[in-house]
Amino acid sequence: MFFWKDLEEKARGKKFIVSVAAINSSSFEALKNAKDKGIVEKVIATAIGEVDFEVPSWIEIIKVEDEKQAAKIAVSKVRNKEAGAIMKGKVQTSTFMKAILDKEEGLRTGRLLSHILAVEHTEKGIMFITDGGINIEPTLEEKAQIIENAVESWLKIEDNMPKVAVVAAVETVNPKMNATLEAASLTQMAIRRQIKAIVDGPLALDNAVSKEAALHKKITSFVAGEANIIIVPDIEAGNILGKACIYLAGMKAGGIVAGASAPIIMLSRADTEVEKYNSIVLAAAIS
Amino acid sequence: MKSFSEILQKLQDITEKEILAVAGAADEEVLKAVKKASDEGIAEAILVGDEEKIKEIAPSIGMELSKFEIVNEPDPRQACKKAVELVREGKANMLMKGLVQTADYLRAILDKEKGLRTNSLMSHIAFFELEHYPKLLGVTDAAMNIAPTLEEKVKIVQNAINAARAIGIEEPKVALLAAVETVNPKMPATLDAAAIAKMAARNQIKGGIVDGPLALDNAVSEEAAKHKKIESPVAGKADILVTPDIEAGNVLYKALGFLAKGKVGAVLVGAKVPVVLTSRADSDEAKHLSIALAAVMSKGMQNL
Repeated sequence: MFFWKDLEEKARGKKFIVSVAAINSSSFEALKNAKDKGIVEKVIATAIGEVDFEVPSWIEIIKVEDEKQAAKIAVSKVRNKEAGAIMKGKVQTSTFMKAILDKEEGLRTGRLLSHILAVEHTEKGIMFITDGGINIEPTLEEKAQIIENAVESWLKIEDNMPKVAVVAAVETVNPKMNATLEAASLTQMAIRRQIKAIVDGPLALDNAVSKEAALHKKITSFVAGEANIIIVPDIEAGNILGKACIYLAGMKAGGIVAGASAPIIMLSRADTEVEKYNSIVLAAAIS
Repeated sequence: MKSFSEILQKLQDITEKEILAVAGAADEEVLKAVKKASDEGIAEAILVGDEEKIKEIAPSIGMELSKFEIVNEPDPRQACKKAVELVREGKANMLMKGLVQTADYLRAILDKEKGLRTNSLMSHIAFFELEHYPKLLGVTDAAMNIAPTLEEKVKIVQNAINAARAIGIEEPKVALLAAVETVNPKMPATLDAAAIAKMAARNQIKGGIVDGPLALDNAVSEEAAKHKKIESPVAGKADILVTPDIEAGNVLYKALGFLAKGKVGAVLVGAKVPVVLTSRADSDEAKHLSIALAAVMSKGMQNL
């Protein structure tokens, strides 16, 4: 079990260097906040034209002509291990992703990219919710990769094998409910070691996080009540769950994109300052 | 409507209480809930079920049976039919499920000749009282319709608006949730949301203000909506959240209950009267608030 403060400590123990593609004032502000708190050691950033903020000593600026260059060079800094994570600045998402996924010079691992949201439960610590942001309608095979990305990221933080719950609306398999069929397949895949993880599903969200709820339903499951990682049925459910945790349950959250050879930080205008900070902390802890 | 205490107060203030027909009342948990509703002036009840067993259970929970009409019917299927009949005859104005199978309960309600069907379909709506939201928040449909078609979603939205109005929310603001707030041809949830929002604008859905697609943060947080520069009469102020399907609905419902620790009451709407469908897993509070919700809806529906 770990909390944001544990991730912060872990981050501070590393010399975390972030590579930024097309840095702008808003990404600068988030990085400055993280630097002030000891999370970021240094930043290497590409910049298109003049930057709109005063550049401190801990930021190395590389001037570039266009977005393509901005992304390409930022990616290369991670590829040659000068930086431990890459952050998107003012560059088109498609351009950014293209550079990351470049076959020759990118950060591919062979797995798909997936979004992980880390939310902090006051008693249970941090849980991962995936994928509420990138893969619209993942196939079964892609869901297996989403699980592996999440487990791999988790294991960079702590040694204990995380428990993965594949969530659906009900905990029984219903042929009319595709989410439950997929959950059953993923569970079996894990049992057959096709996925290297401890997986159980289908589980409704309450069964996944509450031992009491699971007991009520008399569910026999190694994961029920103790899920560390929640795999959502689709992007809609994932996005809704993540936002409900933040906006309606008051949980502190941060997110990264996993599946590349280093964590990818993609901050949105809608993220609060806390979320932006936590996303950088998460990336640092995983790097 | 800011809180459940407002609803409970409203019910306590009325003299003519709404009457629950309980199908399969010979169950300790259900009788406890009925007793509490009666004791606190929320609702009265007619108990349909095995009279002998009811009379056995009642004293053990301190329930004074003289206050309640009992219709003796030991067979659970018949009990469902009898409970529905009581509503049809005007002797009760809402239903509660006791020790009967959900399938039998719903079948009796949806019976073409002797049931309580309307033109609509039945859908599940839950109202939450949350620490982090300034008013009651409705969520639909977390439990009934698995993968509603566009037409069915329209009915789900209209049901939700009617329910919200019946509990006292004037012109409810309805947010059609999706993962993003822009229309993406690859994301059916966003296409459905756009169609439904337009239908409401054309008065094909009445009584509420409907907008979508909206991501959840846009729907409940004015700041988040401002950040995305969203122009919407619903953004930041939603009264009702409509999820694209049951998976998202259930995940949201459970998140608000178990992670946000919200107080919740839920009913099935779309039949002629509100239908309470609580399960053993629901807390005593959830059962109590569900009955209260049904009662205020029933009262409100009569006044609409």
